[in-house]
Amino acid sequence: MLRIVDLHAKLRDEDKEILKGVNLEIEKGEVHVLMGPNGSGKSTLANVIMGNPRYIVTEGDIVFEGNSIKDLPPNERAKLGIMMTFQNPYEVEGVKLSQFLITAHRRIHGEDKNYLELRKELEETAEKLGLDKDFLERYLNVGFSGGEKKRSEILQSLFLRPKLLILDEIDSGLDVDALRLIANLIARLNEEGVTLLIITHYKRLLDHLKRIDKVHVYVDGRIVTSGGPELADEIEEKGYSLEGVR
Amino acid sequence: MMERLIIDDSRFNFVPKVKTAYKAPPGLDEKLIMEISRAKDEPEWMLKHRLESLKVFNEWHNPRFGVDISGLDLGKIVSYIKPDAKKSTSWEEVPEEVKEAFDKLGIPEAERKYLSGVGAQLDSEIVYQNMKKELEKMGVIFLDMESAVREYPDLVKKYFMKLVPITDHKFAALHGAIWSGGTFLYVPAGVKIPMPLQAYFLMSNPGMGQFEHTIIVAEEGSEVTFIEGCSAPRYNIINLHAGMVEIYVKKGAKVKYLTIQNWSKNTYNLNTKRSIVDEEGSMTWVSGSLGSQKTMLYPMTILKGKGARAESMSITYAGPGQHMDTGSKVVHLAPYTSSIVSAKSISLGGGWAFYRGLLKITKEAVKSKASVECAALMLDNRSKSDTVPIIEVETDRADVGHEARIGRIGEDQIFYLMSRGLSEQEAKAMIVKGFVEPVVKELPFEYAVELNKLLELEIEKSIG
Amino acid sequence: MEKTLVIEHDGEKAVVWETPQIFSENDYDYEVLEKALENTGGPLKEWRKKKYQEYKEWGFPRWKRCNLDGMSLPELSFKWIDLDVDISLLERLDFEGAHRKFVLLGDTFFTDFRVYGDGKHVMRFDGDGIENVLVVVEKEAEIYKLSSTDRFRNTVMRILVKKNASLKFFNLDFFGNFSFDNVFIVLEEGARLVLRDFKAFGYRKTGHILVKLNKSSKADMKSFFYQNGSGITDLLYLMRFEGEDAEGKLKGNGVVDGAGKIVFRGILDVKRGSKNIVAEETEHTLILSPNARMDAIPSLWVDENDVTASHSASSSSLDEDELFYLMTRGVDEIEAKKLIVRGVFNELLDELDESLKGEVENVVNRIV
Repeated sequence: MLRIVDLHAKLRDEDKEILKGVNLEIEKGEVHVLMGPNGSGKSTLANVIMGNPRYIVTEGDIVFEGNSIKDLPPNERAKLGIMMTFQNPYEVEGVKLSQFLITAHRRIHGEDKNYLELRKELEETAEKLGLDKDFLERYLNVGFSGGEKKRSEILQSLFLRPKLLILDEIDSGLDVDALRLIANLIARLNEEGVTLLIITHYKRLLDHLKRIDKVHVYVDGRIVTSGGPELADEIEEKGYSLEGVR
Repeated sequence: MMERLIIDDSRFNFVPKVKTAYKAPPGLDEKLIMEISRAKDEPEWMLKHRLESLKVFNEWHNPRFGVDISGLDLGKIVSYIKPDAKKSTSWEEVPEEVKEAFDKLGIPEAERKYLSGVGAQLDSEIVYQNMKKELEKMGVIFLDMESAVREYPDLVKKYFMKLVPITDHKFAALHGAIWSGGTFLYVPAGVKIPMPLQAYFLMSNPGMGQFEHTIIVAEEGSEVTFIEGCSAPRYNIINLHAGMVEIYVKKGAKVKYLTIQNWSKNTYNLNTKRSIVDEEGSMTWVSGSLGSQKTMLYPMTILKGKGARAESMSITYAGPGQHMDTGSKVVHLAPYTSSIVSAKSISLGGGWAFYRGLLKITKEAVKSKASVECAALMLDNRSKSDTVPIIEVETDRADVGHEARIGRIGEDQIFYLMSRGLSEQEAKAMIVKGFVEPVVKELPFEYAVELNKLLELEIEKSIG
Repeated sequence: MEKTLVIEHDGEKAVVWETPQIFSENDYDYEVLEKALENTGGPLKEWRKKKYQEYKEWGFPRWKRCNLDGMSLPELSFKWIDLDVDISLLERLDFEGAHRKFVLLGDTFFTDFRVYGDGKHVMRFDGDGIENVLVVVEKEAEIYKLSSTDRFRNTVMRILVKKNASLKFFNLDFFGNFSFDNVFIVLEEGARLVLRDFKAFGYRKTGHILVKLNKSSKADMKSFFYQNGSGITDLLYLMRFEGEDAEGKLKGNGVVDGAGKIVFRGILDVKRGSKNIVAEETEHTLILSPNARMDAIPSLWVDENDVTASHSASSSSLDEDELFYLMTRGVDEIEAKKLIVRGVFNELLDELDESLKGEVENVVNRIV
């Protein structure tokens, strides 16, 4: 489904290269995990896949369902079915969460369903996350606590139903219960056919997932090694320095 | 031995750097004023007031701050205000951009003509008649200003230009001399009017409204909401709007005044709005300034009585070629008074949004609370946004705070919204609408819808 | 000449308040200039003459918020001054100051002229005087200016901090019937400024500090002020951004008591092209008595959309909860108030080195 071929990218305003030749292949329906030490630039990879204009691709390609997407703007990528949860989602004053999500749904999935139908769907989805109707009327991320921000991002994932969901450190800052809830929802999404790319540097989230196809270790702009779920356990024991040496 | 540099009035020498003040253009003289007054069948005191105003106008200095009014041509006014003058424009004279806006906003034919001063009044006669009956039953006086001067002279005299005297500034004097049209709304004690009243119900002349004078008197314990203007573009053949609004909020009364102005781009909008609030009364100003080439507008609230409250929310939009000098003034004269000012501005395409505010807390205003918040959004790099608030505190027992921030739409914000499927334009439009949402939600539904559409149009024009 | 107020945009000008001027027969005249010229050697002699031509065209300002009624110009005595000053630099760094008259006063009739470069320098100005200072920092400098005025003082200071250089400037200005402090600082690319300004007491005290920030420069400014009696202190701090990546922060903190008045004008002026700058200004005044007054005019003039600019101004009286907390620790009400007020100025005291701390502490003690 997603093929990243020798991807090099740098910050638009600087010369330093941040992605130094990333190679990654994810088949439809799989669950891939990307782990790496703090500051290794894992988020950058997610942002580049999503099309953040702050970064420019200097070499290589990103191919989604057979088509190169590296020149598409972010909303086109969203329409193709790619979605990223943000570590620190931006606050947008005055824009209600519900109003925003319904608009986004229409952009991505077309105008078939009417407002009321979508509204109902949204409320039902929110309930699964323990979020009530009032939450939906709040302004997008304004004044949300860390946990609320994460749940809002998951809500968006559930409601907007992408084909490929990239979860950027969705587990940071969550307490035990919230983590479990979210992990279950993610797992369920995958069971329903959504392909997952999970970026994290802790094992916690992974313990709650039933299916993990591949674990990749990302250091200094590249994937240095890949393996099965056991790789995550090794990292937990020995830390990342081992991987860097290998 | 010390030499004294005596600085006192008797040795006062100004080095004159005074530019010539506006003189009334030829034709704007006593004779014309008397003609106008006669045609309106006014009582003697009003004629005297007009003549006095004209005198002051001729002698007063130009405003010492604000927009550059050297481009203002008062010559056109004379022929316009003559009693027998042609009041309407022809459809050909209406500028293209106004016609385009009508199209895009989907404004029906009759309204278009009305708004450009081409046709006669709106077909709202019936609506108005029904409302009139209800209001009469409640003892409410809701008349156009000219009729009020004739039918309730004593009541009007009590309030007419008492809050904004003709010496307040040059254009107040001009207004005093040639005012025409407007609304007189008197709400008796205890009466709470359930629906908002709108100014255009009373517009008797097409294209009028440039010098309207509105007075609202809310007696003890009454409540009323008044809406002036509309967000569709208004076109005038003369380019000056010097209206005036005076609002008297008596003890425990509540008045809310909404204005959306979208004067065409040739207009100088020099409006004066002032309110005085008695004990426990409350005044809310909601203003949207979208159009005109230059605007100077500072709704002012004087909190005279204990516990009086003021709230002022505004959006100012400064697009290409516009210089908007807007703000608010609040004066706390009594204890336990409170005020909240929220001013938002959007500038793009070379527009200049200038916020000018005055917040004054006098010695008597102990235990008062005042807060001012200004936020300015600059949508591109050609525009300018300035904020100059003046805060004067004369007591140690008040809580005063002001904050302002200026910035642009973050790239990150746009990326976030685009990653959820919105196009760049939609993302920007959504952010801008979100930015003004706190003010928009105060408006009645149709206005809110129109306002949003307008903003979308402007953004489309600038980005597209 | 660097103008203070520039309100225009794309050729569109706004109407700006013009301060009325007062001309008096008792102003310094050609006789006083002669006396000054007799005691001047070198390039400064021509400079005085030239400046006098402009000086006599100006009157003193009739200010609205800080009226100067009763002001007298002192009788001046000139000592011999012959310095090889770079006149072109003086011209380059010419500015309006609190009012053009005062900068011209300082340039024409100075009774003392100082020139400083790198290193640590301490200036002490007492009694009455008209001082003119030029500072050029090549690498690093630390400057202390301590003014303790009697009846009249007018200071004009031009400071150029060169590329990547850094300057620490403590400006301490106390007492005086009428004192005017005009400072213009230009920060070249990468230059850094730490400014601590403390103005206390005085009948009519005016401070005017304009800082020009070029690319990547940084200004960290803190202003402390105190006024009481029937004194008025009118302060203007203007940070003008003329280059990318610059950073300017201003923090104002002070106390006003008695029937004193503080006017605080914090201006952030961001010129187009100043991308990615950080401009911040906050100001807080503690108002201690019912007759004390504060006027705050925090202004933001922004002509560049790729910036973060914000300001805030607030005033309050003594926090009752804070007082209560201190009193529960055994301190009586008066002591508690003193502690809180002192707290405002402690931040400054902590930054001073030992030699000057004592003197400044004496002043703070007079406050509490």
